[in-house]
Amino acid sequence: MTELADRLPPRLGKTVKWMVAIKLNVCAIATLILPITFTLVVIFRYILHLDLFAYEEWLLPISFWLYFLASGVASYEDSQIRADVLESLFRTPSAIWRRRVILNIVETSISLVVLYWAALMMLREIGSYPFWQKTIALQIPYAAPRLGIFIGLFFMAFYGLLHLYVLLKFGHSLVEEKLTVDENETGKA
Amino acid sequence: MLLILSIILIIVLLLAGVAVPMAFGGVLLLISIMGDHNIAGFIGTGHWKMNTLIILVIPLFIVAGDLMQKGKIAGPIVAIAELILGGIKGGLSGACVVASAMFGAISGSGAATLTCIGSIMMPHLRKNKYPEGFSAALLVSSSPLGLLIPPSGTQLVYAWLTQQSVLKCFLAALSAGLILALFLLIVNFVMLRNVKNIELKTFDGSFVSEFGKTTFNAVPAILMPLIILGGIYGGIMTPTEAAGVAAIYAIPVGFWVYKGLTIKVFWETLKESSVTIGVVMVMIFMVLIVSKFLIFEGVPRIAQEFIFSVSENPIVVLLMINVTMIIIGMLMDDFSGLVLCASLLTPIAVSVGMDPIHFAAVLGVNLGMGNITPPTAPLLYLGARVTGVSVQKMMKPTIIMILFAWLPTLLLVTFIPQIALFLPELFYGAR
Repeated sequence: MTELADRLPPRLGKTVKWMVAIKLNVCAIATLILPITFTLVVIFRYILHLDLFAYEEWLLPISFWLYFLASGVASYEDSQIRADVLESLFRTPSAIWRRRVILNIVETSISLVVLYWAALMMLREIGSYPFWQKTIALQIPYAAPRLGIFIGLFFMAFYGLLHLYVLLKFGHSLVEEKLTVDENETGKA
Repeated sequence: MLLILSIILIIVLLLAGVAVPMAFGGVLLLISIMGDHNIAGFIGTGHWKMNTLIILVIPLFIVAGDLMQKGKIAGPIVAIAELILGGIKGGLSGACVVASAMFGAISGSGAATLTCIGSIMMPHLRKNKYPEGFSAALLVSSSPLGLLIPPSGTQLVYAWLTQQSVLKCFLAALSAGLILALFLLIVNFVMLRNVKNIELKTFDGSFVSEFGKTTFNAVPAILMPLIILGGIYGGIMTPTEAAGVAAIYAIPVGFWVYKGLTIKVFWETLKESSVTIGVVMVMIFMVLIVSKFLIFEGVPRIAQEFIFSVSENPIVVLLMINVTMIIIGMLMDDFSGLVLCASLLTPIAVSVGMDPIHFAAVLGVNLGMGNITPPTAPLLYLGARVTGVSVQKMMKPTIIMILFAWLPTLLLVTFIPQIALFLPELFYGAR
């Protein structure tokens, strides 16, 4: 299946694919760290009679990086959840294309505003150095998870812009191609 | 004014097909324009709200469910349900309800239940000449049982959001889940009573030896909910720890017992799970920020006043709350719908005298029903993909199941509080 990066200029496409692969692998590792940590907590408590000291202070920042980097990948894959009630009302390729462009503009604009809010949050964090907020035991700055949020939101907006670029560059042909693929798949089924 | 504009904006954005987190981002934009808030604090608010261990139960349930799905853990559960009910007319389809309830208890997710049970049961149902549309509709209608049969991820999140006892919420939802399963079984047998050509399942050996063999095969799968429930109810583990242990337990079971996992499949599953986690958690992140600012703007009070201006009769108020929740369930997935309803509607329900534990069960039934109610019905469309049956064919039987199984359950659970409160009060005493 053709993905977003395949429709971008070759060098940019290659970089984007590489970035997505890194993000996915980092997220997979983080996804595995979560249950392993909680299992270790239980093992430490009942078998070793020890406490996994302040594990929440490093686990929660990891989880924020996971949430937002993975959401960035979801934006790349265009797999964010949407209701799509009105989709079936648009039948011609040009109508479908126009709807997608408008949706993309709305989503990307909101993404950029949210990214701006996240940037303000980061600036405030950086501005408060060296008196920034830290966790109690391990002294991990709150900027650590917040940086993950900012970077994740950046990628969501970035991939939104790339989708918009591809939609505008390829026009109706993109929709026609997708409709043909869908018809072929339905035919096979 | 802000309330009305927020509602209009969210409905327009969601119906237009804007991604859910961005739709809530749009409402946040509206709040920033109309309200007097420090916009630099918006994203930080989300961080504060989600910076807690209990919320990790959602990603853990997602990864546990995905590992079970790919690990082929559903197979032996379906085999038991088939063995018990497959020999009678309507029994094989009845087994779908039982298997969905059992697998829902393990995975805690309607979508995972539908994908696993649907993909296994549909070929069996076709082979035994069960009507296609009906079979697919029953699979779809049974899949949200996971929202009600404990351990349920949605009930855990509800308990966290409303500061209620997790175990009480589990017990309240369990009664609703059992009633719903019973109604679905009744509707199943009634709808199939005049259908001819259905082939009954036969077994070569004796039932007892077959049952023993199948149950033995299913033991590692059945242990999964026992670990979670036993861990939580026994006070051994917190819900989050139990979900983590269950996810880790699914790995060897998937690799070596049911052999659905290989290194490659395992890694791909982790990647897929992480994307699902990202989608769900960022959506909840945005919903939490919006609900916080809407609460700050006094929206629950305004909504309460609006509802009371229509009627002060508790029955009418509860019906209005139910309709609102069904609409939300139609538009959103179970977790984000739950976060929104729990934050905004619980105070209103409590103000008309409803116990928040009772509301947990009502909310679970409502969201499940919304998830299968046309036209939006996220699970109905997923069901079409999983079973290969068109939504059009599923529509009539689905509506029958909504009218004769889901709606009666909803009305009973809403208006007879003892149904939801009986078990919590039995185990923990009255408030």
